[in-house]
Amino acid sequence: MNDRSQRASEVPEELRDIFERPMFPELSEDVIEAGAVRLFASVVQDSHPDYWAEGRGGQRIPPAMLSVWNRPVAWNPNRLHSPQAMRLHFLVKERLALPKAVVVDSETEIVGEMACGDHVRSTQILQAVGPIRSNRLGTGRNWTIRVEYWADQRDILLGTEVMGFYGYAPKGCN
Amino acid sequence: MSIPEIFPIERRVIQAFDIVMGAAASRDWQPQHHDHQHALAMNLPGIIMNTTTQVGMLHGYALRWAEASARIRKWKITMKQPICAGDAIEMRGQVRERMTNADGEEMLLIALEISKNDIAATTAQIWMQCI
Repeated sequence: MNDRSQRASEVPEELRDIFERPMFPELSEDVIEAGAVRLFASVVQDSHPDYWAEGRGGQRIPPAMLSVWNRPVAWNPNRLHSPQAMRLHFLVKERLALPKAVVVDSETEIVGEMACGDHVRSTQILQAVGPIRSNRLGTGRNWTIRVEYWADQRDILLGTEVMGFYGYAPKGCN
Repeated sequence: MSIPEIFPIERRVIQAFDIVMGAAASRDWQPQHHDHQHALAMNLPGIIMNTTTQVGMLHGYALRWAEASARIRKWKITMKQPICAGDAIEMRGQVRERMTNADGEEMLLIALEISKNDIAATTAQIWMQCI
């Protein structure tokens, strides 16, 4: 899965201290719950009976939702600033001075079953940074971040996600 | 488990609702998924569907053609073109390989695609365990 790893010496200097280091350990604000599962299944029009069975929805969790639980809500009266999801990604953007980014690809492996009531713990690791290049969006770099997700109370690995990003300065922006 | 080798094509016109709600249901607050002007400033054609929503759509499509007990164990997704409001998309899928894993369970490797205007916007592979 980690076929995009590279040597630290090939990484831009401004990122070497965070390369291949597990960073930003986070615990989900909310637990996995059936209502969130049904909302997601509704939006993507997924009719799987486990998500819709009367009175027992959410016993099985869509694997596509692995990364959802560690994204905080946009506003919370108990905090002054909304924390960002994927903070390592935003740190890379900031250090490379690349203001925009899109997800290019992603590879996910499910290891354990998510369950309602789980708090999800995650860690982010910068795995690769590509050379400067240009495309129709602008000039920038690709980078790869691996995220591990754990069921916190049960202490079992739920899965891993390797996300490829392209960060760039849009054409016409300096 | 018996599933067709080639899945019937499913068609859908993507609305802004699908993109915005998909982002909200996956707690993705990045503005390119709900703010048209921000998306234009990123040189995108408009708000774009996020990765989680696309994966959810593709998983739902694949599982409609498998038994409910099937499990998706792994996937890779590559987004080549953004999916935007107003896009008429087609989802296609086919079984590429049947295999047995180390535990003796039957696994399917399935190739999936979301296309618009006959061009592949997103391609994916999923590994499905047949239970």
